[in-house]
Amino acid sequence: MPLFPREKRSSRIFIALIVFHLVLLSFQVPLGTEPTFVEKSVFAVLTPIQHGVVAVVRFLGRLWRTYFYFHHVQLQNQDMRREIYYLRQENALLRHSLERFQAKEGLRLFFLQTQRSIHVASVISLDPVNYKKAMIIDQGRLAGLAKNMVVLDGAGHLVGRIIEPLSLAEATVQLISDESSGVGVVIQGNKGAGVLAGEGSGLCQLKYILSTAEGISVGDEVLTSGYDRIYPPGLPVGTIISVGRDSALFKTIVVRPFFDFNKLDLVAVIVPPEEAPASRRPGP
Amino acid sequence: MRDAVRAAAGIAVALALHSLLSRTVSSWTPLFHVFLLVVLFAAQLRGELFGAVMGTFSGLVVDTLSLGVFGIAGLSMTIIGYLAGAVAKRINVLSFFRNFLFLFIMTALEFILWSLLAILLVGQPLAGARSLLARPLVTALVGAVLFSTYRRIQKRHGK
Repeated sequence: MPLFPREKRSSRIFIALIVFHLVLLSFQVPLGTEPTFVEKSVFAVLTPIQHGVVAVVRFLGRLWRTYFYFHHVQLQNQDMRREIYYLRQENALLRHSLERFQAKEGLRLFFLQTQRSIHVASVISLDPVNYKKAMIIDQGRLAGLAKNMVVLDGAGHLVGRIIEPLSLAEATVQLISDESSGVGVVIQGNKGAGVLAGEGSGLCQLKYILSTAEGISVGDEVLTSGYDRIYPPGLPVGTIISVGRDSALFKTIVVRPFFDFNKLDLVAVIVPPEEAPASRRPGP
Repeated sequence: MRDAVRAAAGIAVALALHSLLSRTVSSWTPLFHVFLLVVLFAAQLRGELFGAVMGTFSGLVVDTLSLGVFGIAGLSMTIIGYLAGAVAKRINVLSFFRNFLFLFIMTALEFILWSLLAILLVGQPLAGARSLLARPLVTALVGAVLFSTYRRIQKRHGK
């Protein structure tokens, strides 16, 4: 049956769109997850819109709470919660560093470092395809954020790291539960070191633990090892929920991350000391 | 020109909705594909060409906001946008149940297409059967309710 001119035009445009996508894919596939110029450009245009939406919603929510509720108590409460957030972060980092660094000098230096290296950011969007893979936060290059900076939740648990695309006021965070993520970890009590990779379902797999390794059991805590040179050592990552042996060489270990996907409203980005401005931490 | 404004407005609404869902009910984000719903609405109302163009732009947005190979969602949503427009032109999908069924099939098809492309290009395994069923179900239900509300409002205004 012959096509009408209008249908012909539609088919041609549709084929052109398909070819456009195939060209895009052919550029992207060799790069893997590294963003192309097109992706960076779209990111730079889109995220300010999301940032704006979240800012308006936050503003309206604040308006409601502040002017129709207990104005003074609310502000005080907000300050205290922010302070508690910082204290928790600092406490968690110090507690885990204490276990690792016994030397007084090392501890003093670490304390000085953590005091000014935490940068709080709000989550503005989650990955629309699988929210357990990535998220976007409302801080970017202007705030001193850079690729591979480590992201923690409110209790100091490891969430992920900053990846590209990274714009002036927004950044993408790859969660440790993403399949392409890899974190160097150790099992508490020096029971073994391996690589933690996400499953995409919210759980992670602890790889390369030899079948001969002993003493590993459900409930053991997993910490960052620092061997990957991205994540500092001693950060709490998750708990082992199952230990199996399906190959001759390695154990199959499943880890549940400590952070809660549904409570990722605020996150803390660790800014290395050489990149951190003099003071990021609010006064008491 | 009017179509361009409509397309931009549709994507902006989807983006705003996605941001709101991310901040309020994050666990619902993967179940309710707001970007695809906008594409299917566009295809039903304006035909296959508009559906394909909306699919292209919405897909690029989804690709940008998610990890993985850039272009997979764009390709799958363009095909589904075109297909949805072509089907809606030939079959009456206006009643609530038919609209629900139409949205369910289109969302499931998009998910299958996206998963096949992901396996083909990056070797990513298919997501669980739960999301295969749950996403089209939730998206189609919300979509059918929204579409019937939209049609009621249009009728009331005599359009």
